[in-house]
Amino acid sequence: MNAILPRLPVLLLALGAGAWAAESVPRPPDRIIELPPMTITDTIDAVPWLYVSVGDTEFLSRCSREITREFITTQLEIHHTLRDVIPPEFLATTAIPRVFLLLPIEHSNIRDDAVLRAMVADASRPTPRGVIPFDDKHSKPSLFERVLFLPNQRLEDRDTMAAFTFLKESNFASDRMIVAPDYVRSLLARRTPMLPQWLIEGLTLLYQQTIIRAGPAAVVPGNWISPEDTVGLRNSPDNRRVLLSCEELFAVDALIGPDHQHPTREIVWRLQAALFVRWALDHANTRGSDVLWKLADRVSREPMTEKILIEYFGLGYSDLLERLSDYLPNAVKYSAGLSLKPTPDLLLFEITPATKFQIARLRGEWERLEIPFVRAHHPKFLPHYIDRARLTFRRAIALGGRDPQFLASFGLCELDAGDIPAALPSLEAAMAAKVFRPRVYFEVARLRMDALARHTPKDQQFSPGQLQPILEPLHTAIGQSPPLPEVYILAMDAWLRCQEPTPPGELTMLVEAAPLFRRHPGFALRLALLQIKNGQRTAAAATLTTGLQFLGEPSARSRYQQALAGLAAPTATP
Amino acid sequence: MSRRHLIFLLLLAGACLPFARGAPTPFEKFVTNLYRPWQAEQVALSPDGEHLAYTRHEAGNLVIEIMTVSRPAPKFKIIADDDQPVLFAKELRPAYLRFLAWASPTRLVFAPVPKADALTSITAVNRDGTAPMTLAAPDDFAVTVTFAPPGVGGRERLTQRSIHIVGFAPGHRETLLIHALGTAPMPYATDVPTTLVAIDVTTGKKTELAEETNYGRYLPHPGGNLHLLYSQPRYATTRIFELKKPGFWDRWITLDEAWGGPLTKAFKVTPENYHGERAFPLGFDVDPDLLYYASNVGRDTYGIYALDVRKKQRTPFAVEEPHVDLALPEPGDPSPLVFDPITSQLVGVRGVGVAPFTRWIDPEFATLQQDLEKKFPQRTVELLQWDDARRRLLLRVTGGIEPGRYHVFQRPENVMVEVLRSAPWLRNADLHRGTTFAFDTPGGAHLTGYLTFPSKPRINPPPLLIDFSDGVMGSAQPGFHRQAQVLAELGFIVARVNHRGMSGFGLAHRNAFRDGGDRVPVDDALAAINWIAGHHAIDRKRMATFGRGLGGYLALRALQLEPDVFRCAVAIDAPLAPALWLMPPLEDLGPGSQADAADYKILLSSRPPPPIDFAQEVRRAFLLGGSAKLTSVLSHVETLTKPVMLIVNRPEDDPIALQNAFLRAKLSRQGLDPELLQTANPFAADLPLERAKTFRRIGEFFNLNLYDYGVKVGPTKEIK
Repeated sequence: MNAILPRLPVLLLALGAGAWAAESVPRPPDRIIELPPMTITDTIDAVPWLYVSVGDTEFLSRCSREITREFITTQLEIHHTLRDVIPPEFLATTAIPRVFLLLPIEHSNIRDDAVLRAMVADASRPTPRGVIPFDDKHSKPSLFERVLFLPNQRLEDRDTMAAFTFLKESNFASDRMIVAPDYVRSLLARRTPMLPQWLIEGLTLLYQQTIIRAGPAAVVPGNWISPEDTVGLRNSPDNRRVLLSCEELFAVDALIGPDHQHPTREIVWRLQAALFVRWALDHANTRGSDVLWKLADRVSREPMTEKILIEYFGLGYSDLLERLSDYLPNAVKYSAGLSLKPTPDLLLFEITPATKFQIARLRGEWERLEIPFVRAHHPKFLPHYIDRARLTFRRAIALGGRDPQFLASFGLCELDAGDIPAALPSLEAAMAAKVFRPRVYFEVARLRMDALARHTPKDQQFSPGQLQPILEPLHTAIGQSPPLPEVYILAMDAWLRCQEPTPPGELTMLVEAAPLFRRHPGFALRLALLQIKNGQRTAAAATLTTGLQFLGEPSARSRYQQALAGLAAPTATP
Repeated sequence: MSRRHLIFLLLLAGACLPFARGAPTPFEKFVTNLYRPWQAEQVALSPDGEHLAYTRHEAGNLVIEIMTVSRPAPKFKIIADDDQPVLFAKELRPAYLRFLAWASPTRLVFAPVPKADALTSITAVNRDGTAPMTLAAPDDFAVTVTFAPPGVGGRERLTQRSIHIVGFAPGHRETLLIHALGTAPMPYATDVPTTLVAIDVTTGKKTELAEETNYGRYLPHPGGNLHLLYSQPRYATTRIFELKKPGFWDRWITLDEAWGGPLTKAFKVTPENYHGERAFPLGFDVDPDLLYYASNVGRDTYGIYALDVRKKQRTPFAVEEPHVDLALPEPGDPSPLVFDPITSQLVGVRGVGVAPFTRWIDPEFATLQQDLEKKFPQRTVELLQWDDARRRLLLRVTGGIEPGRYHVFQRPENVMVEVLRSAPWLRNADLHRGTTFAFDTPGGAHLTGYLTFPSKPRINPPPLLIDFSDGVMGSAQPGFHRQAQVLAELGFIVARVNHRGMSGFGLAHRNAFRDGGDRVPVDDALAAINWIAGHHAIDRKRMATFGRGLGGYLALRALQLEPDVFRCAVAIDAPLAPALWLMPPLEDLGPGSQADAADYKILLSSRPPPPIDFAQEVRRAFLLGGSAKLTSVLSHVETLTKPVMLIVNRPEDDPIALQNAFLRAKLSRQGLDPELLQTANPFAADLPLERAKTFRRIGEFFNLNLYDYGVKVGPTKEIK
């Protein structure tokens, strides 16, 4: 029929392996257009949606009850094991439930030709300049043939996450499911206080190498920078060992700057980060995995230094490099055992038929999250995704849906679609209903700040009364989980434009939040500016100096250095 | 006997079986592993940076292995030489290379170190083992010498000449320059000249470039010309430098004030000024008018300078280092000067302080060195070689707990490729951590040294061992030191102090011993103990001394001078009466002595007199020519009241062996009964198995005299 369908079994096989993320699916050729899955053709109304709420996840499934139960049970198991390998305190948490959509591949149509034809027709319409984008007339296959709906995908928002999976029920094998590596990376990257990049990469790669579902948990032999290097090291420990110094491995600018971006260096850095984590967790080398976790906690709040390494491992950077080098031939040749705690009883859950509002809210949430993705990657297809999401929400509204979470999702949907006037009432309504959704409060505050600042000079100062409608939702967002850096930054921006000094309690609250976002390039700078505005020049210098230690990006470092230089310069006498 | 007891005894017997059969203990294995010959004692990066040739020992052979740097690939092996049997020993003495270098990206040149009984050849081979060729063999440069004393008919003898490898001709790697070395003139014999030969490494064709009959050391010159000579006369104690001026009848002239300007006054070498204030040439620049020289005239340490021979003036070029001599007192190998193989320009000056270092003159290397040192904190990073494009650099990283690792720094990728380890059979986890220290004594002396900490001390705080190592006139040691590792394995914190009297740390540092005697190093050891105690926990009730050669002498003198501080001492091959030891043997008196003139005539008629032993004359001048006299251990035996162990790795009739036997007898009469370990086979004393046996005995000595908890330990005495 076309070039896509023959690949379908491969994609489904990947799905069977439990990969959540699109990146775990074999990548199609470059010219393939990967679009998020759509559940638009409800031709199987006879198959009911099932709903499960367990732990921090809401599931919406059209698979059979048995498969749904098995899938969810396995999900709970593998997420439990993930938290056994990586202690939960190093993974991001959110009070907002994750959304998980589960559909059987047999009853679905991941490539609805009718829909696709319509989308392609729209996308191929001449642009105002008369150029037909996408479809190169002289190339094969055509745009229609090149479009592929991904069979599974995970999408994120600032405060939540949703996943979509097509499942082949006839050969579903739950024991092949794992937590997708990019999800692990995301959980580590969103953790506050923020973890250093080397630790995020190291733990993610290590988790990929961990077998946890068959027999005792173990880390399988890893690979090194090329198949030749891996085989060479397996055959002889005297083989060459391509490495980075530990100074570079732990540096904030390990991969930043022209001298640090060679592909070989990049891959060495990633693999060496994993090697260090593996070495540190291997009881044969250290006094136990606790040492690594203590170090991880420390370096989430402080920049990694040789002194800290010595404190925890009794080794300097050069000692560690030598240990890692000598460990490398073992790591590519042998498995390393991990001692995990026995799995406790899993949470019980009940499978119920989904209500129309549950279906609309969870589907709508997924479809809403598709909008930023399609806008970023394939904007020509955006209108169809926006229309689909709006249709889902509006159907439910027509049926009387007024749940605060639903309103929040709808408001954010309109916001992501670019219709602020349509978004604001829903967001305000969700806020009034005290919805637990920090992004809602942030967006309302941001929109209010934009409105206040519009048509005013940049240096215009506002009274506390004018800023109160902005700060109030931000205070609510600060009290919610997960903590979002943009919430604090907007609060600091607001106080920077206030005619009055910042109340001490407010400033203290912002200073106390700084350790959560040490690696955020704008946080410490804003805080320092606010401290300067409030006459705390010494504290501002300390904030900048500390912040600088966590930054590798040259432009960000330059801004900090300029601010520090400004502080060092003598102040003008009024 | 119950069944349980029987099983226990059987298990015990099984556990003891390996030791009963004479299998090495873990400690002996540790020692033998430490003293195995290391890998990569010679290493060479190819001009394109793609291959690395290095030496290793394998199955009784010295092997050159060639590895690819940029990707994993099978290594190619070339057997370069075979290890030599040792008299009365099972072990073989390892062979070494004296030269290993790439003539091109594909062709390698190597030469083994000459053995005692034979000169060795120079060989070239392609990296895949093809086209092997002997470039030079001892017979190639043999000359006929006629010996005709008065009244005796002339006799002719074919004499082989030693080969000194100068290196590749500047800008022409396909041409290897060598010296076929002449010998010192012998009475009634024709001269054996020194010949400069160029050898084509591809065809093997030899071309004689120059020949000189003057005897001495011809210093390497980028152009290879023989126009700087360090003359070494056979019967005089004064050595001079001579220069060949091509424009002036092509003759040799003394490089003195008349020909080199005022500063060349300091170029004259005598035993008296050898360790004093002087200067000496190191070699020419690619510009033949520019002569690099080392000088400590008017300053404490040797700096490196340049003399414009044409203008007879010093140039502004100067590389100086406080506390560290940038040149050894003997010109020649190893030269501190580093030249770029492509441009032949001087790019750096190497020095040996507490750790080896290089002062780079080339700014690119200076920056690189800084960057590389940041990558290996607490280690010594030596930039050894580089490819022609300077894209790949060969580094040696040593120090701390690390015997040595070789990395190729790939600049475009900005990654390190660890290619080699000096001792891959040693696990870092089994070794003992080391560090350096430096401080100024209350008396103003700047002292440096090395500490090695036991990874598993037997008691806490651990005892301290002062290792005087080779003692007076010794030079700086490597950070990773095998002997220190063994002693740390015995549970000691091992302190090696670069005490005054050692070479390489300036004039005042060395000459303090000459004027202060053996009290000076002992005072330095006491100062070091105080410093160490202020920074690390040590058991001051359990401190011992250790040393080899003059270091052994100092170890015993420390025990005599400070019996309340040190509990015991181990001395290896210690000259107990240095003045006696330094006396020349009767047959070596030579014409400069007070020999009876009539007897001398008789002696002369039968055979030529022996040459002056310049090195011994220098030692004698230094150790006996100062204001302080070296006290003999033997003359104050009654002050030796603490246990001592004397180890002698020499034949029984050697003066040092006799002195040690004498000391033992005297101490026995005093009731101290020291342990004397006379090595059964002195020829094998430096080989790993013999060392392991010796160190095991040393361990037993310390167990008995230091770790014996039954011994009543006196009160701690504060060292003033």
